[in-house]
Amino acid sequence: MNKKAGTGETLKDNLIYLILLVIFFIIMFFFVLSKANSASLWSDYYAKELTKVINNAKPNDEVTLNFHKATEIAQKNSVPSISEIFTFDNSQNKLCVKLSPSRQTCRFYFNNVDITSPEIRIDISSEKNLLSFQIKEKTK
Amino acid sequence: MKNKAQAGNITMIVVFVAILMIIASGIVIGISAFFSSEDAFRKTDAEVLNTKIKNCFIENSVSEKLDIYELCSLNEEVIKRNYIIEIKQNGEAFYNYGDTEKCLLGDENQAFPICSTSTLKKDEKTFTITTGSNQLSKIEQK
Repeated sequence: MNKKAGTGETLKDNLIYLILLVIFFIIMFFFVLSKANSASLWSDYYAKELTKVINNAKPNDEVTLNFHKATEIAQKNSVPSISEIFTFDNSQNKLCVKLSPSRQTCRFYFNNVDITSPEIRIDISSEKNLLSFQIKEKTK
Repeated sequence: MKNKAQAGNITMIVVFVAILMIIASGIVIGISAFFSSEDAFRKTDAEVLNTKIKNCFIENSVSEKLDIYELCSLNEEVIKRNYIIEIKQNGEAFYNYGDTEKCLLGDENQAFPICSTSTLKKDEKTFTITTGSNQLSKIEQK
């Protein structure tokens, strides 16, 4: 009986540590999750990948990119229109990715080409939202 | 005696919380540094430019009076804003934009470029191509 009381006492003493530990893990879990799903991280990722693809491309290439993850984040952040996610500025060789209503991430591509006919195809059922565009020789 | 034990317990909780805070700040700093690091991409950027120039030299005839931007389809404005290019022919300066000495500091400071170097042998000439990128993603408010 005395032993049982002792066990209960030990458990009670350590309960506060266990609660603190659980709270710590929950906070850390959500912190890492929010960082990994953040609009800034993914807009930076898409901007870098697109820049790399465009810099490696040659005139008359056609590029198709699955940007399903970007649509999910943009929708979660209430970006008004999907067509606003990717913008290309041929005059400055600049592309921007917008996954939150007030901020966008931009990068410049050094390949002297124009991006033409950007087109978005949405297919929610197959989780394939495709962005396609063509690489054309720069018009002077 | 009971009061003393309680005081000891509270002290241990404070120490425990302090340890958790130290671990949490380590995780926060580590994760923030990992996600915001631009180093890996600047290296890739420099390598892509280097490969593009190398392929361009392989495909085209290279003369002393070359316009590298026209020949290799590079945007002069973007290159001069964010990149450096140094080309040596048989060890002597052939084309140069930017200071490659800065490459040495690229790993420690984001203001300096991270560079990539390659060599190409063509028509009994050896070209050493060094390219560097210090382009960082730009966040714009819109």
